[in-house]
Amino acid sequence: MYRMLKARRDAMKDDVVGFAQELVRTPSPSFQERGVAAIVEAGMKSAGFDNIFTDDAGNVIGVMYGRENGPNLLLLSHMDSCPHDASAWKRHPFSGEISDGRLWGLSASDCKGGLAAQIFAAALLRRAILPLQGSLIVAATVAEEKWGSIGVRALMQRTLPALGLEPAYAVLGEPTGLGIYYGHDGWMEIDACIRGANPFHVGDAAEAVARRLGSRPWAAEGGKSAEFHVQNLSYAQSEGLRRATIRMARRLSVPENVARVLEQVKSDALEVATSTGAVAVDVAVHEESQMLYTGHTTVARHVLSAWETDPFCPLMERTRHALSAAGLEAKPGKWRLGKAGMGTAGGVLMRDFSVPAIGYGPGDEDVAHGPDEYAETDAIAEATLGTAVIAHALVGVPVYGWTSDEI
Amino acid sequence: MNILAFDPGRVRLDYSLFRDAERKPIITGHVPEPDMTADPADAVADAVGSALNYGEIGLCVVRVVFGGEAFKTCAIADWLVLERLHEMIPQSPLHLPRAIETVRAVMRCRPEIPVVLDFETAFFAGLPERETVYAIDPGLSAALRLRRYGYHGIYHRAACHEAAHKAANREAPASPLRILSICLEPKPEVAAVVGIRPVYVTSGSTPLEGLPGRTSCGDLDPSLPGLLMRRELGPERVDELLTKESGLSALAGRMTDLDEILTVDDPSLNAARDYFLYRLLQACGAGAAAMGGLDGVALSGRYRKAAGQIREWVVSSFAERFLSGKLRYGVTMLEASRDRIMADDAMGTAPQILARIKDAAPVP
Amino acid sequence: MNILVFNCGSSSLKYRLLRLPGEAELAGGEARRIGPRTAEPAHVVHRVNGITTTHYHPMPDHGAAFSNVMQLLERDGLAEIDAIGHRMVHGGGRFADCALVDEAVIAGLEETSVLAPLHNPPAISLVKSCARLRPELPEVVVFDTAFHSGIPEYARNYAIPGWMREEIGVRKYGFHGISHEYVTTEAARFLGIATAKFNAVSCHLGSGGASLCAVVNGLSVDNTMGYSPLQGLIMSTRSGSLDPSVPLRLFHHLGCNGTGVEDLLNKKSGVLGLSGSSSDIRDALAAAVGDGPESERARAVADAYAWRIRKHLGAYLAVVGRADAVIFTDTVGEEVPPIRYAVCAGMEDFGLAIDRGRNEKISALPADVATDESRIRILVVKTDEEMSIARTVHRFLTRQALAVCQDG
Repeated sequence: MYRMLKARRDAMKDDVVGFAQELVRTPSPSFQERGVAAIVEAGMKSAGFDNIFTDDAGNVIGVMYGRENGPNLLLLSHMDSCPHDASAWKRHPFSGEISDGRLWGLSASDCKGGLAAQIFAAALLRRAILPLQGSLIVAATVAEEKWGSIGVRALMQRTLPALGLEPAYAVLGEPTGLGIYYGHDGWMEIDACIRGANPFHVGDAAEAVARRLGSRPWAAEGGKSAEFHVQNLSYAQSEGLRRATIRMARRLSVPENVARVLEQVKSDALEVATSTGAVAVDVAVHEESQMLYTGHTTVARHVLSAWETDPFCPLMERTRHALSAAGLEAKPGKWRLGKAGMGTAGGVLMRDFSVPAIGYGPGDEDVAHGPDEYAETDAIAEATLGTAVIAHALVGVPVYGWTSDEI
Repeated sequence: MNILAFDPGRVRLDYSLFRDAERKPIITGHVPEPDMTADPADAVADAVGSALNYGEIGLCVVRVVFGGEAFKTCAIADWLVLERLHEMIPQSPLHLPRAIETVRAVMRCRPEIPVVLDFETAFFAGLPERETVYAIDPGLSAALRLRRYGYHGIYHRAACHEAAHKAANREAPASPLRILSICLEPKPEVAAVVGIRPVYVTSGSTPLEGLPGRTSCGDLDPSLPGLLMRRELGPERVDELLTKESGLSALAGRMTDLDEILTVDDPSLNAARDYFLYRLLQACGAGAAAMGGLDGVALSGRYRKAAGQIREWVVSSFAERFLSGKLRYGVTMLEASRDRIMADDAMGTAPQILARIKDAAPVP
Repeated sequence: MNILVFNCGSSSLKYRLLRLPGEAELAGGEARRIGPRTAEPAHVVHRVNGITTTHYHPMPDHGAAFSNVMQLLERDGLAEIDAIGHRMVHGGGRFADCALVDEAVIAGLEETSVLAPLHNPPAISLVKSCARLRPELPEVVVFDTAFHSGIPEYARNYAIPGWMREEIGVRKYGFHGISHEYVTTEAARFLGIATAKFNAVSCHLGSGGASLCAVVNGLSVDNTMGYSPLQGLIMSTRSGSLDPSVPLRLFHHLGCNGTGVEDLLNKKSGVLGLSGSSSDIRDALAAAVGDGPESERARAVADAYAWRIRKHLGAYLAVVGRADAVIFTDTVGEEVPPIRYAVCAGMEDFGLAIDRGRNEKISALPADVATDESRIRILVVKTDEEMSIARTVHRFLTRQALAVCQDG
């Protein structure tokens, strides 16, 4: 079976890389994914999905129905790109140039290469006529790079239940360098707001709080110190009061609780602020109103949950076993999230929807969210095969005993 | 009448075209895996196209490895038949989809040609329960549809038919003949057949059980898959080990087959040869005991050279030591190839096909 | 020579004191409920001169059980013991014969215990206790696998990659060797054939495990059990042979680890799995009489059970070639005539004919239940594993003593 899949993967390589290239060439900043969504839909059509659907958030969902009601597998990748600074790029971010065995361009790694691989993995299973027991769902989501995973939330809260599909597992196409990733730390953005009648007091207090929060080592769970960045300090005036807002980003580890972190920040800020004069201090998670390309608006809280799937859970084990049976090396690991604002929807899936998730994608975390992003074309092809192999192990009809070439 | 026979295998699609009862095909061909990547239906259409160069095709016949308990004889393809096959896919997940696709492709490109399905399991659909059952919870067997079958029924049926025919030419047997049918294919199989009813077969819920294949292990201690899994190998890897890296080739330490191990004098093949003959001896003994006696042996399958050696072995070794040399009707060797047998089987369904055409014809 | 033979279970210890070569039993019994305290207190059921007595003693381990047994024997004036014989289920690839216990042998036993993690460890702990408490007594370990150590390579191998054989020791070991050896010897004696020229198929049909053994020239050339006791016949709770893909399907379906499937196939399958109610084939035979789905199911169980034996019997008759006898032994083999009949009926063409009357009415064992015309005799022989062990120990020590004399 694996040899047959490999042969078909080889025959399919140009198609999947070409498709990834087309995705890269189509700019898709968050909330403006309409163009790329159309390409995804067309790609799913030619891949042979049984049902293709665009929900009101703008997510594109392709379903290959299994013979039974489950277990179902969700392959999840986002369509939007992170913000980029074109001046830092040596290559054109939307050229989709293929050279040195790499597909260059914004989101090649994060995660259009992964999205292409997931769509073509489904096509690979279909063309190899490998029967499925549960359904295979490929979802290309919107607004992932802008906090809150609101695309994924809409998918999980409304779209999949309406389609009658409850996923038992999820695989994220985010960049893992073909490793099997089982989680990452989180980030949260905090607004500390200092108000007072006396503008000088407010100013002094804000400076002191920013200094204090930015300088002191922050204890996180497990005796480690948490990463903490003061991002900016802004002033406003309303109803006769001066208001200063300090925006901070803080890394979260898996066991940490958002409310407790807020309390800690508040008590620190209060201690410093009240020593300089009479002011009030409020601390809250930063929130923002977002408008999707479909016109829907929603409020996003800037919390990216830390998450971790048990590295020995059945999802991990089955994935590891299947990849190794196919002769694909897949190291388990976790995302490092080297740059602030990086993250995946795994936390939302795990914490809010109780769907165990892992990451498996062709991209490279180190080149994501930076200039001259690329993905190896071989890796895209291999991820196509690997994803098909994982999907077959999780929701395929088992083929034990039938795999010899003798009959 | 020309008959086009398809064998949609796991790795390639073979086809041959026969004229009436001629032994040799007019053409044979195969479509290898890489060429089937684009659209397997095209491969089938190409085969049909090249066959049409030799005149109209009267019948198509497709080899179907698995037909479950539902198909006890050949079937003429229609949507209902395909629907029933589709339901059985989990029981033969790699072969059935290919067969269904081949049948569909023929029906699409030449709807006027009747397509006959020739099932390998049909011959074994009526095996007695004592021979099909595994000693596990019947609920579990039912849920996973685990029961034993044979997977070379097309050969076995033809070989037993020929053996019975030859015996009848000598004398009319008083009671049903008891025939051991040994099929020498990459996955060899032994069946014990009383009259036309098999009572014993070496294969199981999949073709993995039974005699060792070219690369598949055959009978094994059922604790071994678990033992391997506790060594950090997943079930997929264990399956690959047992189906693709075991068998006679594992014993020989290199790829080999029955023809080679039984006819080439090479010490490195001794282990494989001894093992095979020993397993065959046990299968023959078990099959004979299942029938309560033995009247003749029928050989079939692609390994012709091996068959010559096995014939010798049956007469001089097996029958001699086990039956004191008494093998009333000797050893029959079936000359026909499987595709030729399939063409015959297809022609055998002609009355049913005619009846259908009549039913379908508009009333004048 | 007085030999004290131990047959060690996980929480029990059977013992018999036997005098050889006369083969008289001086005492015997069983220590029960060894180990942590249970609802029923630990006790020894002791038998001497046909009188059975029960003695309650705490026995936290097999060593304590051994001490209790020794005290009871001393009390009865039976302290004169020349050797101890132990039954060990698995000898692995290392012990092709019985072994006189010394440190190297104990180390070897411990290495082998991974192959039989349930059966070997208590026996090994007993061996060590005996060596500690009575270091002067020679201890001989007798293996259930040793009788099968001469199985030829082509029958011992599986057709699997070489590394499994070399790295994990995957091969057929075979079991029930102590019993097969005993009944083979008894059957040959009964028929007046020299054991070294005796060919047979021995059917050990126990209330738990069951296996067939092909015997050529008095030696085992094959056994239906394999790497583990799971392969082969349908047993009380073991499935016996399966398509190798079936365990994989079960792993997939049940989503459990290797141990879960192993438990299912070892403890909840076989006669119990098929019948859904009883692991005893006699219950199925009793329920098979009558109409209705219950008896139909029971009939199917009994049919499958006997059919599997019959197929393997046919296979082994072919392997043995000119068999002198088919031997039935152990609980089911000795006590359940319908199974013997179902297995042997209609085999006249192979020189095997069972006499229905003789089969039904056996007055004493060993018995011959074949018809007068049957070329192959069908014998029902009572097995005696402890006696078999004692014989092996006796033979071994006598030969050793002889060797010492000759050297001297």
